[in-house]
Amino acid sequence: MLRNEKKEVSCIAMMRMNTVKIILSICLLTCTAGCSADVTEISDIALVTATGIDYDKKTKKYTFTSYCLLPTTTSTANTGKLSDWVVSASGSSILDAAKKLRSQVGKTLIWQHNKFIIIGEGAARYSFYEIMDFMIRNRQIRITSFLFVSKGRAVNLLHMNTETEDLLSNDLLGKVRNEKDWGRSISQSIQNIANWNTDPYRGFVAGKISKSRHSFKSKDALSLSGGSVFNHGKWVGWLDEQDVLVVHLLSDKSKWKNLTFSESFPFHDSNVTLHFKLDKQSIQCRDTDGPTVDIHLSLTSTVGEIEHYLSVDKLDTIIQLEHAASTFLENKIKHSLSHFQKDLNVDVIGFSDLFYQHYPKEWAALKHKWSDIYPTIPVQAHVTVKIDKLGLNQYLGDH
Amino acid sequence: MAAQNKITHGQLSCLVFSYLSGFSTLFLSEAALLKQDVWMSYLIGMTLAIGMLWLLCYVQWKHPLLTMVEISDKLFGHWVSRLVLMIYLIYMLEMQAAACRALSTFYTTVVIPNMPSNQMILLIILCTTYATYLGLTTIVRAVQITLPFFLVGILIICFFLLRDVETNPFLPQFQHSFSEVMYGSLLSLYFPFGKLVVFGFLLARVKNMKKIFSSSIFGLILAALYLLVSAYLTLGTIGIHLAGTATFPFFSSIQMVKFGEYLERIEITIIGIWTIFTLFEIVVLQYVFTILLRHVFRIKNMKPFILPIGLLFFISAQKSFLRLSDLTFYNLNIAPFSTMLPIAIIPIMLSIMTLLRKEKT
Repeated sequence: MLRNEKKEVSCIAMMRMNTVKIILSICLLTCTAGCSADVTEISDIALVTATGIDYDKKTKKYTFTSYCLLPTTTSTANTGKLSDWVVSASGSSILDAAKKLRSQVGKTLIWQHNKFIIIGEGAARYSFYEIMDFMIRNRQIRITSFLFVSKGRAVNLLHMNTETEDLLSNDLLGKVRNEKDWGRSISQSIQNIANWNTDPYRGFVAGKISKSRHSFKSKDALSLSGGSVFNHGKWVGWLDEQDVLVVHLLSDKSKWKNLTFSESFPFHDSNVTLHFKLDKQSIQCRDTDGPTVDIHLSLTSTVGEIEHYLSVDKLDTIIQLEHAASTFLENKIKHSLSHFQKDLNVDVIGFSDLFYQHYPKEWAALKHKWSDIYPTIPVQAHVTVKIDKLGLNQYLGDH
Repeated sequence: MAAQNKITHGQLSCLVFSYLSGFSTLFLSEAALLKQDVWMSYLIGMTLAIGMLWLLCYVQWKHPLLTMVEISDKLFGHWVSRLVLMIYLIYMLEMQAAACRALSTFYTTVVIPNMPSNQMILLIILCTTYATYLGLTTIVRAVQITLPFFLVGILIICFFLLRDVETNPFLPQFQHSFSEVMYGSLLSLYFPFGKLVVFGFLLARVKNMKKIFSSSIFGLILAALYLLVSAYLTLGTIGIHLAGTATFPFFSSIQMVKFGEYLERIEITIIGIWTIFTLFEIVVLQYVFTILLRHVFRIKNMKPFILPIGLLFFISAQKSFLRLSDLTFYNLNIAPFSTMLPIAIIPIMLSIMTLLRKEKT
């Protein structure tokens, strides 16, 4: 009898405990996301996939442009399609202009999927610090986004249609992806730029985006080619395609490990085009009798095309061709480095970082007059080219 | 003490690692200060923490049947011991307030900006209070369940980050003055390595008393390794300049991880794991706080006081470090010096007293 009573009491206690647990669980449910008032439905959002920032020096106004996509469509005619549109607003600061976009768009703008920041030439020249500060401070903008400087206003480029009729952001992504196949354009992430921007000794090359028109086409097309040079946190000028290729070759491995590019050069009264792939790269600095830099590049190559008959099946010809290609690339690198050192006086490759890392004591003396020393540093470029493939056909014949 | 309330030395290692690694990589203050020489500060900080731990273990070994609070009573006398324990209570209140604020600031800056910080802190404290109510063995089992997820997650992240490290970010070495390195070491001793001092009050709960030092050291070294790897990867991936100015540098570097071209934004999984481990840190602090409070005020049944202690934790966290700059100032200028008393001086005093008593007997 007593045992039954005890059992009953413990059962009642268990039930009470369970009731308390259930009530507590219900209370905690109010903290879950579904019960929050701060909820945004997917039909209420617009994804920003490319952003443009322009600055007018006269009016001191920023123009903030967003290339937006609707992840869902309410129109039955457009089912299965992503609808895109471009919206712009001006303001006294970037944030002010960005906030004004809200008055023009009936959606909540989401920047988490933004991959491209396009900065107008004026903005890059006069307010780059503020733009960088805005981007790395903002939680919605990812530091892996790519930054390009546009020739002209960014807003005009974002309004352009692509040649593939694809979304502009997809088209740009494809062009960034194609960078490794020709090496004449460059895409830099915001993270890299933010890190280099405050370095007082080195500059950097960011991407360049512009309109290009061919003689056989009636309308302009978006083009990623060349680069834009920054030094001491300010835009300095443009870089042509050939110099950008050299920047790729002398940059970190992530920039060149998948890079293939082609070059044409004269050889035995013929014009030869080779496909190159960089296998090894080494940049070493020394400070024995003054600072010097040694560059060693090792490339493999495939014969791409030959203007006239050339006996490429013979070892002698191949060796001569390899030598000619090496000399050609060495001259090309020297020419570009001379431009960086003497014309621009901007350490876009980051020789200062190398001296700092490997010769810290010498660097302590060098850094005070780095801008004077940098243009005079002798740079030795040694290129070794090995032609390992001839293609499917060795030669067409001697006619 | 009942055998079922004891933990094994392996569980102690897991708990030490989780407790130290909670959000130790969130700010990386030493890395921002010493940049490539940060490894020296970690090495010195870790060595000092090992010394402190050895002193605590020595005291515990000499009094195997007593808990650390009882040892304190025995060595210092009743009233001085109370004063010493009060110092630890204040230390733990400060540490939990800093942890709550750091976690809520991180969440409201990065993940959910519209959520009020107080609401966030309340949720944290509700969780930790419930865990304290459940007791040490449950806490340790929870650690054992979550630790593999943390290890796998962080290993994958580190592997993918390592691919982005092009040059050795720890070059050139020895570029900072002796005083800068010592200050950095002081910072790393205060946070995270010195936090280990609260484990002194849990050593008596370990089954195999002989292994308390080795198992704690194992957890400590793993935590130091994790911190060192995080600093290396952060400096190597986002760069020395950006790492020095970013609010949450390791988080910024984790943002760069992507699998292929499309699978990115995986940092949210790491945020989840970080959160759980920070909770463990606060849970341990709250649990030890409860033990000390029980002893100081001679409370027999502690269960009715667990919720009020949680409320005390909530209020102290809610009223402290209202701005991030307050927390930064506290972390860089006040705590490295003020916490020397509980982290270093009291353990040294305990061991000296133990030694003197031993010589007398």
